[in-house]
Amino acid sequence: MGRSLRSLVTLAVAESILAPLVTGLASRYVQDRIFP
Amino acid sequence: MPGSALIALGILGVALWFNQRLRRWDGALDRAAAEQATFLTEGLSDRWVGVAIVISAALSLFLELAMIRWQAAVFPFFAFYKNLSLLSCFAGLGLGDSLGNRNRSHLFLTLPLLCWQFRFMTWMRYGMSPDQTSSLFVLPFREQLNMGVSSVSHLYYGLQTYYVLAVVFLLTALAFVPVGQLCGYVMKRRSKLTGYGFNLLGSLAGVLLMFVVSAFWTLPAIWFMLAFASLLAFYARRQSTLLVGAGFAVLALVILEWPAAPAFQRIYSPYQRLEVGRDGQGQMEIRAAGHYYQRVHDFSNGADRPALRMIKEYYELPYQLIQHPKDVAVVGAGTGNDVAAALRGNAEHVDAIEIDPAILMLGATGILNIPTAILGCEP
Repeated sequence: MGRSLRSLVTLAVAESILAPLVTGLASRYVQDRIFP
Repeated sequence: MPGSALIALGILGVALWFNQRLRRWDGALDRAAAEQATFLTEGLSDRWVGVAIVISAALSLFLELAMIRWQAAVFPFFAFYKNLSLLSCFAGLGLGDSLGNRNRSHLFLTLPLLCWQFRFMTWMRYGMSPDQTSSLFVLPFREQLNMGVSSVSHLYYGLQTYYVLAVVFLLTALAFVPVGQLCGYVMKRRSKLTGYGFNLLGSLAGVLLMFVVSAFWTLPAIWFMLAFASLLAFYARRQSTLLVGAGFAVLALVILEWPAAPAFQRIYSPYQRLEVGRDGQGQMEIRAAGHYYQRVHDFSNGADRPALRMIKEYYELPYQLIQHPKDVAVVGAGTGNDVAAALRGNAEHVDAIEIDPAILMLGATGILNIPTAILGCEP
């Protein structure tokens, strides 16, 4: 497996683990600031 | 906030561990990739190359259409970004095709990556509470025809949506690179014109197959089962590779059909995914592509309640202006609330036009205040 492919797969997996956290924080922000 | 920072650090640690693990598997993965490339260039009998080009092209188009349909059915914003699904598939296929002369093929990565994406999106949609995902139900741009989805007032309020889109784009493109490469490998075994002719034939077959499975209202598990079976047919004939691939295929199908929202019945009409359930008042509620679409109003009971009366008057407004109309055409009749209003308005003849046969069926079975003969018209 090439270095670039390995990095891209790692990036995709790490980003997708992080996505629920980002979405959760953004949702809290949206509820507090946009639809209080 | 400190808790979130700790979780982010934890995720970074997991990413580093995962990268390290991939590096440790490098030798085995590289051997499997070399074996896969050899199988596609030499192992596949010359007699079957034409068929292989047709099947690989059909697979790439069919899988692409299946992804576009499925992604748009999970989160409402994907219904507004269908081109993004298309572009991510194209990016992967194009990049893969250009790598068709390499001596390594990572075809075995497609199934785990698709499996991971199914898990990721299904969990985000159904595993998180509505409060936690509310920011994904707001459009990050201003759209005139947004079907009732709120729009953000500033670009930066929609950054989380762009982030999720970027993640899905990357996961999809990466999963499609080996599929594009597969097409490139087999096409190179024929002259350009012959190879392209077979490829075109396969592409048409893939689109036609999606048309057929959609016409029969089949579930995503059927679409992806067909795609996965075709994909596995191109795997190098090594037992361990085939077993791991089949394992990921089964896992992906289980995730797709997991009963994540049992209160709502899922229907995949030829046009879209519908979710049918009951609201707090017991009325039939329909969601299209994960977003509220329509309620089936029965005004025969409790129509004197203020809230229901207002809705009833809204539907009956045209017949307050024109009483006893002779001919009424309802374009986009949905489940028939407008048709019922026209009949209450003493219309002599009503033509209901609805593109989606599933919605027509729901109207015929779910609305008690419309004669079913009205909805039994031509679809």
